[in-house]
Amino acid sequence: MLSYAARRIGLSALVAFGVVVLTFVIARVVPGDPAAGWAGPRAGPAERDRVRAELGLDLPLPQQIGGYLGGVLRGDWGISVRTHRPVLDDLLALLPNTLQLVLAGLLIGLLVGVPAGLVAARWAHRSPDLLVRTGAVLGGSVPVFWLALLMQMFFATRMGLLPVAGSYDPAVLAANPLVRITGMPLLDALLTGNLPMAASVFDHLVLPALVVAAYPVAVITRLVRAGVLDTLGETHVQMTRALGFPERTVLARFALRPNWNPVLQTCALIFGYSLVNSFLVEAIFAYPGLGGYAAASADVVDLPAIVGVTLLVALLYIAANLLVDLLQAALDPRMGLR
Amino acid sequence: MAVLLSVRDLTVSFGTRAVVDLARLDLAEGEILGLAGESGAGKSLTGLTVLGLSEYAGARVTGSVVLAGEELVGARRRRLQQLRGSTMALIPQSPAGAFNPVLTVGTTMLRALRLHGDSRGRARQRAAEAMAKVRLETAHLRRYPHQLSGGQLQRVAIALALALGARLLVADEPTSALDVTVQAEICALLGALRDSEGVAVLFISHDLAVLGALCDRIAVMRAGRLVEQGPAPELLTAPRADYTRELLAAALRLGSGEEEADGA
Ligand SMILES: Nc1ncnc2c1ncn2[C@@H]1O[C@H](COP(=O)(O)OP(=O)(O)OP(=O)(O)O)[C@@H](O)[C@H]1O
Ligand SMILES: [Mg+2]
Repeated sequence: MLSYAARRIGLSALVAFGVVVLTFVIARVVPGDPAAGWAGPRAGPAERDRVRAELGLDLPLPQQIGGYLGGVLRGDWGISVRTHRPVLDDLLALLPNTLQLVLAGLLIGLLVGVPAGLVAARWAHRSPDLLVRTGAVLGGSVPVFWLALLMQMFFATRMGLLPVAGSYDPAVLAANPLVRITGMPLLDALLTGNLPMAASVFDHLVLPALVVAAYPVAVITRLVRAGVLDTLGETHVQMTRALGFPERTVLARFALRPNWNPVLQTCALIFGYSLVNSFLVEAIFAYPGLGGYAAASADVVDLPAIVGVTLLVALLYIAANLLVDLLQAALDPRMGLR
Repeated sequence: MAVLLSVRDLTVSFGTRAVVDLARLDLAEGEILGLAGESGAGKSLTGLTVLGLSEYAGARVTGSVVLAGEELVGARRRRLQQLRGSTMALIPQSPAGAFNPVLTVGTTMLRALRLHGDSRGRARQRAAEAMAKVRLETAHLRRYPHQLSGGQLQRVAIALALALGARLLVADEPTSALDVTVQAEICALLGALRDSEGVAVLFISHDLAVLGALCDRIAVMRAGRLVEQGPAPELLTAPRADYTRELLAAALRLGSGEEEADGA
């Protein structure tokens, strides 16, 4: 088990390294001069050369990558050309907001998708199943921006139930300052018992989180339905019924159980997908997060920032997969000896 | 001995096709009744119907199945759930697939005992007692299905039925997935439990040699109907129906290569 974990972690480090190299190469071949961006529009060629040397841009690529990786390990992810602040600080300030959005979407995905999948499997090929499956197809295929705009129009503009954009009400924050613990506003507000702020953050989170959740709900529903239906055909389910367990228990406590592993595995995939998806959702809801940062950085070819965002997303994705792998090994006794 | 199970005019059908049509079948307490017949005769379906499970396969059931004085056909679902496990239990054909792969067999057993009303402590105690009755160590309860052999799993399945206090075991080809020596062990165990615990067994098999060695009585099915039934030795030595004779002849032809079909 321990050597399994060690192997997985080693492999993850390798993948992270590959991502950095790749991002660097891609960023280098796209047009645009970071030194020009840094030095400003009025700098002359001499000034630009000085900046280029200062930023290490005149070194050969492998040396640049080496230097960058060394810095990354020391916590120095470079300085943003656009904000002139350390990239890591920028990222860490915005990451919790994005994580809050993605995790909320994933949580909704599980809370809705698992029961919906169970219901569909329980009444397979009957009306509840058809209803759930139709919903899942819609949720999985509707374009995110369209869903976001629709939600904004309906729930925010038309009904006035929820705010259109932003991540909290500044007036509420001014009256109830937020103590930063995890950086995720909702969690921090709840942890510190700051209820007005929690309510404000929650209201602002509902619509974007629902939009982000559409895909996870659809995927998890379908996965649970198919998996449980498969399991229902197995002898051990019949045995469970023969022991007198009511159908609800047969499904939720016995037939679902062997399906947690594929569900978890898919959660890691969905996490990566939602992370990128959330960039778009953030833009539509003017929700401060990595999405806006990435877009602004790309606009001015802010190389350290772009590489930083990419690396962070990759690291998060790797971490999610690692976590799932370890959870799986713990959950399924048949996987323990790999 | 008192009648435990009596089946009257039982039909099981899929759509308009009746695949089981049993006029009369009785099983006394502490009796092992063999149910024989070729593949597709409706043996498994009969067993499932007794357990009230054939509806899950989409079958329609009419007639009467009375277990310990209680009519099961048309009984409330809740009542059937109470009786399953606690009064009648299934001993599966393929023990390897009969346990949830991600739960220890002990977890399955404890959940079942708790379902039928035992406290945690009482459930543990009963599980341990039942494991002793099938001559397995209690430690085996902490194993996952893939860590036990087919024979051991079948013993656990029997222990599960005993722990729950089942009076009737519906054993659907309980030994066909096991190798010959293990087969004999399981049969011997069932015979011993009939004698010591007084459980009744509906033993489904197409292997007349196995049935002859173990059963008190044998019923022969063909195309859903009973061809004949009677005490095991008589039915095997002096069958009245042509079909039984055919089955016997086929069994002898198969068995002659190896050992003599005993009990005949
Ligand atoms: N779910 C089902 N849907 C339709 N027909 C079924 C179903 N299950 C069983 N049958 C039919 O019922 C008949 C009896 O099947 P059953 O499984 O009881 O036979 P069996 O005597 O146990 O045979 P075997 O020795 O091969 O196990 C068969 O003709 C089979 O095709
Ligand atoms: Mg069968």
